[in-house]
Amino acid sequence: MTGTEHTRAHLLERLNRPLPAEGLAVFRFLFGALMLGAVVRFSAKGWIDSLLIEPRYHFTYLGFSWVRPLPAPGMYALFTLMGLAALGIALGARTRSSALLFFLTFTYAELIDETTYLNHYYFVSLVAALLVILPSARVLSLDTWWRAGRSGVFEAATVPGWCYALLRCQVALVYLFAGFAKLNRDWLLHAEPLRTWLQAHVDLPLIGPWLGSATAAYAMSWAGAAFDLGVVPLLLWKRTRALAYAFACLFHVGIWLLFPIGVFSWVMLVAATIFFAPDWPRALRLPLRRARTAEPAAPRLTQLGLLLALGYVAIQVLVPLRFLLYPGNVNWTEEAFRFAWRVMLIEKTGSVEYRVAAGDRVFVVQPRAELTPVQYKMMSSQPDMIHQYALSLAERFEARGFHGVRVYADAWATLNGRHSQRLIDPSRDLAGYARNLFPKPFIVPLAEQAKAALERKAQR
Amino acid sequence: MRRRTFVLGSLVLAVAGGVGSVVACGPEAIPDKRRTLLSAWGETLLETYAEFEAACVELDVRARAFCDNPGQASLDAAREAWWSVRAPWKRTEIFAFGPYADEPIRLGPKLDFWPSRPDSVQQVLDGANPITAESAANLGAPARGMPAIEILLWAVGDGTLTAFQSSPRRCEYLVALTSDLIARARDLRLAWDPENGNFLSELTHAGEQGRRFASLHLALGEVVNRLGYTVENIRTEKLGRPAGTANGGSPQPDKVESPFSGRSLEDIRDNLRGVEQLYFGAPGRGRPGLEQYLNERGRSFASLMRSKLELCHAALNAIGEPLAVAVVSQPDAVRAALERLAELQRAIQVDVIGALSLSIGFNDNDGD
Repeated sequence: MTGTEHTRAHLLERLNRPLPAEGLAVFRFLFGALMLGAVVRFSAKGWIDSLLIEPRYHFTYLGFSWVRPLPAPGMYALFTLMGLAALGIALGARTRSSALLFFLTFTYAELIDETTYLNHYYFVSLVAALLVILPSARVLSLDTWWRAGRSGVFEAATVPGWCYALLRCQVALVYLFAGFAKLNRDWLLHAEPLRTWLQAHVDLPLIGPWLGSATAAYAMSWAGAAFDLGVVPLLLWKRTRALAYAFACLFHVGIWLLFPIGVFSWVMLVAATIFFAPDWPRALRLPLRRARTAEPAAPRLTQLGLLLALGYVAIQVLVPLRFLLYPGNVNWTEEAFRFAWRVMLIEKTGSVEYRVAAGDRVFVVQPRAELTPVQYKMMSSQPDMIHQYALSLAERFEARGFHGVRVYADAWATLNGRHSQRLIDPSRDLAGYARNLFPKPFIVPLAEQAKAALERKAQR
Repeated sequence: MRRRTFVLGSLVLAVAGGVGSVVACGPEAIPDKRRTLLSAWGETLLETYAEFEAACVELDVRARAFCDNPGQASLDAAREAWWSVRAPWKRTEIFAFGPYADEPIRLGPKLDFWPSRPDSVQQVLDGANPITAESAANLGAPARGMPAIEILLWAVGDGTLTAFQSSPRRCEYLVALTSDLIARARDLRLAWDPENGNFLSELTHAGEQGRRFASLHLALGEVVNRLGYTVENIRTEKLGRPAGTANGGSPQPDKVESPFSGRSLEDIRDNLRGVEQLYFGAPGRGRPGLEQYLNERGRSFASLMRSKLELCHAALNAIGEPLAVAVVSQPDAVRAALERLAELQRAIQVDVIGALSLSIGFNDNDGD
């Protein structure tokens, strides 16, 4: 056996080591319950209508322009199925099928309109996909109960170690990339965008004045970066795990109270439980059935499986790193910004209108007239969406009988407290650029305006 | 170890709960600057609505005087009164929401439906039913309000006096409209008045149970976004559309606001005065503006806003009235004004709104 083979064999052995299934089962239960709550909340807030059905125009993801919203009854049915699937995950009923159904319905809804993209939606899709593969219903599930009812024998209450390893990798990458993304000048030297956001809370009783101070913005910025970078190792180490989770609670509950981030905090607090010792739920003295058989029924990771798992992790590492292939400040260009765990990094406000030229006629088009306020807010500062809408305008003008349609954008944005500046080169015909993953030459690079930022600091 | 975990967990929950309690506790604990600002804006709005209502009363008085004693002097006096009604009204256009826009009251179109429709007014004139203040209240929006009064007072040009003298129904219609205008102006003021409809509390008490805005931040965002929208509306609808920006460059002079009185540009100036009033406040009267609020947060756009407003006024002054003619005869001057307005719009919608993180559409589905 060569050294490599030996290492691989050793790794496989470690990854296949049976571990208590309770930790994974509780993770599954909490995730399903949280998703059920999120689906109910999304519906109760009327977002199925306002975000998915009502918009007259939808921003699609590259390669997914075929994903269109269903007619209203279909959308309600989709969310009903999504909710039932989340319930199925929580209860461990037909768990893998439920996870698959949840993954498909959730991801479909997520893909309908790019302006609704959220990092934690993407994370939820990934976790749902992993739950299709993982044996997460070994305990605390109706599946186990039903199978035991038929055979009279409970399955082994263990799962192979790779199940925990894969989920831990996934969660760790979220925190680590979120942490690395914060190591930039805006975040560390100017405490932006927290400084801007915290101004909304200066009128809170007791803590308000402090929240409005530069000290608070810097303290929270640095602490946030340190937390994201440090929480995973601290959660992995048994001696610091409790403290790390306590900080995680403080951190996530804190940002949930201060910022409108929906269920993000709760998703991450549930996700972080995967770092606990696999048998941690035993401390809760849950009425879990123990296996009557020691026979390990859990799927062992083969060499092919190992390869696939490593491939998955590699993709999860490389996708967020793709920003290195693009020129300019990623927070400004937002090329490679999505699917990269660049969380709470930017306060960006924009405005855009188009000049559509056809022959000797020029039409000024206000996208706000067609888009919803949320869509306009999101697209007006994101070059790829500005481009996408320009292409749509060109297509629609050509359908009206105009030839040689050119589309120019008058787009401005402000990033993290800087003065407004042009985002798109107004001399470039956006209709002349195909929609693809290549760097967009029509984006005007960010002028750093360090002086303006320093002046502002001096005013405080 | 478990004991320590329990203690730590309890500590975290206690701290989180404490922070939550502080964040969620009663808004009355200390004065909230957003509430102070919204209240100050509310006071200004109520004052301006009162001024508007008084001007409507004066218009009614002069319209009746004109009808009692038709002549060029009384017609000019009525026209002057109509002109005076517009000034406070246009300064309040930022608040074109709530009672202005919401059904069933929806007072905005009843007071100021534009582009005006002379055909609708002519239909009423051609009708046979008596016109009273009560029946005027049942007319469609294009046949009532300030634009309909403008049509009566100006649309026939030099023949206006003769038209009134030859058709008593014209006067009947005019005074019915001015009476209705007073009633609607009063409705609007009362709808906002804390002693009556108290719509103002939707802003100043945002965040309380059952309020329109879930937080003071959102209420402030609504008004600040409407500052920007007012400028955008001037650009796109009041200047841009008549200049033909939306239809490939063919001017549409009939799309100007106040086309018959020649007040189109002054309407725009009054809109800008309204923006200025809210942005800079009235420090001498103890009324903060948005600039003061920004200042308290370490930001200032005073010089930017002042210079952009001055440039807008200068560009507007370079255009001659009537605007309906200027959009054809002075396209360069109109284009220059559009550009200056774009700069002002950007200063508000990008710089100011960005500095306060107040973009509209900010709901918790926006979070990362």
